[in-house]
Amino acid sequence: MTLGQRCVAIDTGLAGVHDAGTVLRLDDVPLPARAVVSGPPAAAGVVKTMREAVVRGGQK
Amino acid sequence: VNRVVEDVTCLGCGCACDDIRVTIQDGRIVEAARACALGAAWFGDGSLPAEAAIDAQRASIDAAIASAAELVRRARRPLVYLAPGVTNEAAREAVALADAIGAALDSVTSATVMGSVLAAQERGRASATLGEGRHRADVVVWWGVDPAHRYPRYVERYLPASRTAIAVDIGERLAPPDADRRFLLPAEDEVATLAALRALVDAPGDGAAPPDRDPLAAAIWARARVLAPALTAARYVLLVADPEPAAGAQAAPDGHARMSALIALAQALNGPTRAALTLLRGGGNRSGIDAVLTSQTGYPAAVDFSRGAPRYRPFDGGALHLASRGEADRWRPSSGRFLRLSSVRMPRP
Repeated sequence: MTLGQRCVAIDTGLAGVHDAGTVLRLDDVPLPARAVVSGPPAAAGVVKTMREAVVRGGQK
Repeated sequence: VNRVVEDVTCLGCGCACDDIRVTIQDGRIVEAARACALGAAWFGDGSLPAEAAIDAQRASIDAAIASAAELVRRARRPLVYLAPGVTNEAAREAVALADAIGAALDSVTSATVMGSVLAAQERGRASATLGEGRHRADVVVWWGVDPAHRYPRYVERYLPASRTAIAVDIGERLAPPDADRRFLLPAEDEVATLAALRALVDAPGDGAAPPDRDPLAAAIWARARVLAPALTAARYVLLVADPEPAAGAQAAPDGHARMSALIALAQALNGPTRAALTLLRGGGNRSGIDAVLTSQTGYPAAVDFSRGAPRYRPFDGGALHLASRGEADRWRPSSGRFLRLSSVRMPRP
């Protein structure tokens, strides 16, 4: 089976600009990343939804 | 109407300065006060495209997610590749996805600082938080790095105001121009010089005599004999190095040997005095992604779920290795700003 050149692209937010959560400084100290402006959807949510769709599809 | 957000964390480089004052007007960032040029570029005006596309045709996000899920489910050899600009929470979801689909899992770490990661796994590290360095270090050694270029606020935020700075220029990797003392090393002598320094720090009395009359070896030992006492005389030495390759460049093939020798010196210095090694990191959440992958899989990058349980493949399982063995033109790393879910065809290992 070939998947050919199929490509799906989904823009997601940038940590600390649109995406809130936790990030680590270079010395592994955790710092909060804040969503200061609204923008593309959060990467975590998109990947989670996709994983759930993959798992659901595999059970058919 | 202006809105001001105080104490925003900037991910323009690994320093993650968390004192940025962001002003927002009409949904756009108009000022990122206290940010350096890298920080200003990281925030930009906060606008990014918020689109989804299937085969370059615009689509709804729901349709794109469904299509991506179908693509991933049918993939023979999927790869989940993490760009640096994602949160720990997103990285955790990416690990769960890779686990669910039996994918290879990697990040920019493989292609950039894997040498220092492996060296730390083998030797451990003598590290410290940036705060500890600021409050305890009295001697700072710039080991072939000038933070002004890629870590502009590192000195201002994380170094003590009063300190002795020792600059070590290594080939073309120059340390800051305003140091108190300066040493010049040919790049090819770096590892040997670190080994000599470590020997002198471990056994200062007999001076670990040069092994032969080779003039090159003698020059390395002569240099080390001058530098070693400057390190051991300190109350707390902060060694600062930058394992990240130049933008767009491949990781140096000797990164592992260099970082291993540097870690060994930092550890040896904790005999006669105190010392810590700070390894600088580039922009985004690189350390966070390494930490999440380690906590979830046991390994910081180059992980492979294709046999069910995670396997560590630091020498042949990074994304670039996989792509070079497969059809590399079908896959390109994301720009760091967008999540791109694209099909990858690669041979089974």
